[in-house]
Amino acid sequence: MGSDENAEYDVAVIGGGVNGTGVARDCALRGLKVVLFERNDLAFGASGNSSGMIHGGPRYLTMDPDVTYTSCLDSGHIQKIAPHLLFRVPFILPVNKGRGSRNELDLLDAFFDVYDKYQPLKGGKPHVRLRGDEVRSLEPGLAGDLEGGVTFDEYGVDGVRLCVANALDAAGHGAQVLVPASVTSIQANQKGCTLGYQLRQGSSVTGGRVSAKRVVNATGAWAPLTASFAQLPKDAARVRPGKGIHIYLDRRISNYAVMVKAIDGRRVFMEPWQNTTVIGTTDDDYYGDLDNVFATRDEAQYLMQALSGVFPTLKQARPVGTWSGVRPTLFEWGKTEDELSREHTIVDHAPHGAPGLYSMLGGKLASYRLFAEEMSDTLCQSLGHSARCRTSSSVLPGGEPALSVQELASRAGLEPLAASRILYRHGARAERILERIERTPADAEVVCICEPVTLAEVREVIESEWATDVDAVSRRTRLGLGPCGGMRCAQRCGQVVAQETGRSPAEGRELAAEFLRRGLKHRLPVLGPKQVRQEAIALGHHRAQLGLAPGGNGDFEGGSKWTS
Amino acid sequence: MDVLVVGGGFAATAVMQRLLSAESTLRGAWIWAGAGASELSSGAFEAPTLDGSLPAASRSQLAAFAKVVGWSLTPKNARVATLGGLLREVSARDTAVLDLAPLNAAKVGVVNLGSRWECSAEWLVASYNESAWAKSQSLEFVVLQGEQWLSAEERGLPALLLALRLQQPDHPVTASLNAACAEAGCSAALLPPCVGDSPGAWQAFAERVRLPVGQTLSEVGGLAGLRFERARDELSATAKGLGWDVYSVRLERLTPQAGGFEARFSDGRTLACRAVVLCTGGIAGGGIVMNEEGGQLAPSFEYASAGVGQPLLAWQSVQRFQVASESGFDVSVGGVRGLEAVGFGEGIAAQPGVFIAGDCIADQPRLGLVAALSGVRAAERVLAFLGGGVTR
Repeated sequence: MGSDENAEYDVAVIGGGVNGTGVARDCALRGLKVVLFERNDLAFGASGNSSGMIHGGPRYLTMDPDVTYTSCLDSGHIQKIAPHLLFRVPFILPVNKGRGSRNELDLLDAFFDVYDKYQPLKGGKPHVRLRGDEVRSLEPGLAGDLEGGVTFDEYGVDGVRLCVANALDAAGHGAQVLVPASVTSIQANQKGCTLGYQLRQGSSVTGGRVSAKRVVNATGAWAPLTASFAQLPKDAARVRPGKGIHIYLDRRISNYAVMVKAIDGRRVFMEPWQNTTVIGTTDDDYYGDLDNVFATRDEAQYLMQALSGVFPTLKQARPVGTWSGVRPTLFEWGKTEDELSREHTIVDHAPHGAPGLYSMLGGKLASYRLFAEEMSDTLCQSLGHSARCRTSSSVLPGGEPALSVQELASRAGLEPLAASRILYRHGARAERILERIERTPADAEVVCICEPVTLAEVREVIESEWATDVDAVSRRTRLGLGPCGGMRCAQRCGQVVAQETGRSPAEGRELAAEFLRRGLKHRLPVLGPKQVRQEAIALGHHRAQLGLAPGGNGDFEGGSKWTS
Repeated sequence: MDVLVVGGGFAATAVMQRLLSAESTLRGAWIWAGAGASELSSGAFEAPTLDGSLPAASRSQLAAFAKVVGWSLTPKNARVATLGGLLREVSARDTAVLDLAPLNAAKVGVVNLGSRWECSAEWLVASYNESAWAKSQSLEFVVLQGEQWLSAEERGLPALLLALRLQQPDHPVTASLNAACAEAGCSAALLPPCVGDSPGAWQAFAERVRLPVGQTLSEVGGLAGLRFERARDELSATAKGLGWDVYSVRLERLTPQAGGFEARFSDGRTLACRAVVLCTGGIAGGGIVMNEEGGQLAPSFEYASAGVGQPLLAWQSVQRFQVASESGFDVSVGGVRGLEAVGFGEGIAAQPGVFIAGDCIADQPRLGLVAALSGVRAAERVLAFLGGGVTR
């Protein structure tokens, strides 16, 4: 799909994260003509690699109470517009007996008394102070002599699905969504803006230019790079990139999220998230390649150390991977990472010589909709467009009443688990997948056993959700992110992507191999020696199947020679 | 006891085949614990960069072993079709995996059985026909629709059970496949990887079809591994019949002592032997579990060198690639290649009386045929080491 070069867009959005897709949706709903460019994939950056929570941010209450307020307020809105994607995550914050433990519990109790005032904004229950035995009866897996604890409510979300839903709605209201498309130049002056871009379709790259009255740089941690395409001063769109990693396990080990202190006193957590357990997160200044962010073993050990002491049965589960993202935190000098504000801001680059160009900096998943509304208000005001924001009440695609798990399972001939996962990801749009299966029963084939993901869903995300490679299919469906790490499904998925996107079988094999190579880098920091061995065996077989040398392309190039 | 052979993969099986065929009466024990890379093998061996052929001397050394396990060493530059859509060269293969190399200017049917064990036959055909090698051989692949040859129940069966059904002499697949090939003008057919539960079973099917037929190279855990296991188990039965002890235990400690070694097993038993052959696999095989102890890597079983000889050479390659430790693998040091850098050995004696074969030495990529060859050579060294002192 290409852009309409002759058309002048009202707004060009650069960035397919939650802010970019949120603005594109908001503007499209207001009737503006919108084009969105995403260089890698929707939710490729922080949006798809966050803690997966629309949380109210109790951590910010002491430093940024406004952030807590806006997060809770928007969490309430997001629950209404994407009910299929949000799930309640009850937290326990345990306190072990020790010197000052009673005081600590009193302080926590008082702190959450304040946080309770924000809970009604997001439909959360007020906190409860618990005795040690009550905490343990709720979660017997907790170790130590417990003084007590408090509970509080947050909500989980699949950040990728949230981005996709926003992009789908934007497109449904006339926006052009171009993925993967890199903006290569931005010219902004009083007459308007012109963007040069390159759109990748399979192995071919086509260039183009579009005109837009306004341009939004919503590229998160890439914001300074994007701003440089408009020749802006170096600090015109400055952020302080902060790397955060998460570990995920092969199963849910608790129905409660548990928040504990790490070795340095930072709060880290373990949460039941979809069909896994997620442990997070770190926060470290990041100076590396934003397109290749991977967890290190040190970071993984820091998290495992913090949680395994408090929740020893964690060690009985199997860490199967990590995800890593870079927060586009607002730039400040002289503060630790945790002290940095999670506020967001809009920068008008007119004073930098680029009228019509704006940068969205900072922010968080929980308040993306509000941030997008503020940005869209600014755009509409500057364009003299009077339409009002509808994103807090207009339901996202899939958020309408959907089939029941039983009905979908029965009509599609799927296991209830497979049906429930489809319904979580797609909500009412699961009917599109059902229609595919009814049209072509063979598409009920389960491609990824771990998640599980059907062939029909793979085809759906390729055809309707801008997925162009195995990695993108995985991002949207969680294909290949289970215990086997894609060893069972990457090859098949590569075939389907190649078929659906008109690429050759050889390109399909390379897509699969690339997914396995990249996935391995995300998995290795948390794999134990036995898992590494298993991984090596499976990789060896994939080399044989796909014809690839380890770590490179080609047909077993660089292999061994006989020595006798 | 003359010799203890540790391991149940290609290398150890090759060691045993060679020892049992020697014209001397050895007394020994063969132990292994659990399945390793060999059992998980997909059934085709070696990479084309090994010049596409096995040296004649090596071929001769491996011939007897290959016969035992049902591998074909005869064709040079054999080509097999993978389930990933690739036509790749191999030096040897499990005989249920069809060799395409002899099929000049032929039409090959790719059968769609509609079973849960296959991927799109249409896609495979497109992929195979894209191959430059297939074009150079004037090979053409076409889809043979065989969904109706199986019952709905059969299409949902696990691979092994489906294989057992297909092996029934009167199963309709036999006649249907023959007729479909005739109608489409196919002189060979590729089936999904759900055929042949033991060496020879599939050849019998091919004879009934009266055409070259075989399976695609399958994924991890396919039936090729089972076929190997069956062959190994037959060999172990032969060994038992010749007075060998064969049991499933893990080696826990190996201690040099006067006249040889004392081996202690996971079930508490001990055994005195004059020579030991370690074929415990590499990092992938899982035979030697590396633990970091004081910065040194050591095997999972205790090895008391008593100041004699050098540490097992296996460690050096592992250290070089930083492959394994209790805390995992650092890809930034070893790279993805490091994961597979498990290598092979050729009967290297780390210490008089200790011989190592298979994947646990050196730094070469894991290769089934090479592992087996190293086993044959290790066995020959054992025989030379024991010389005339074999227990009779």
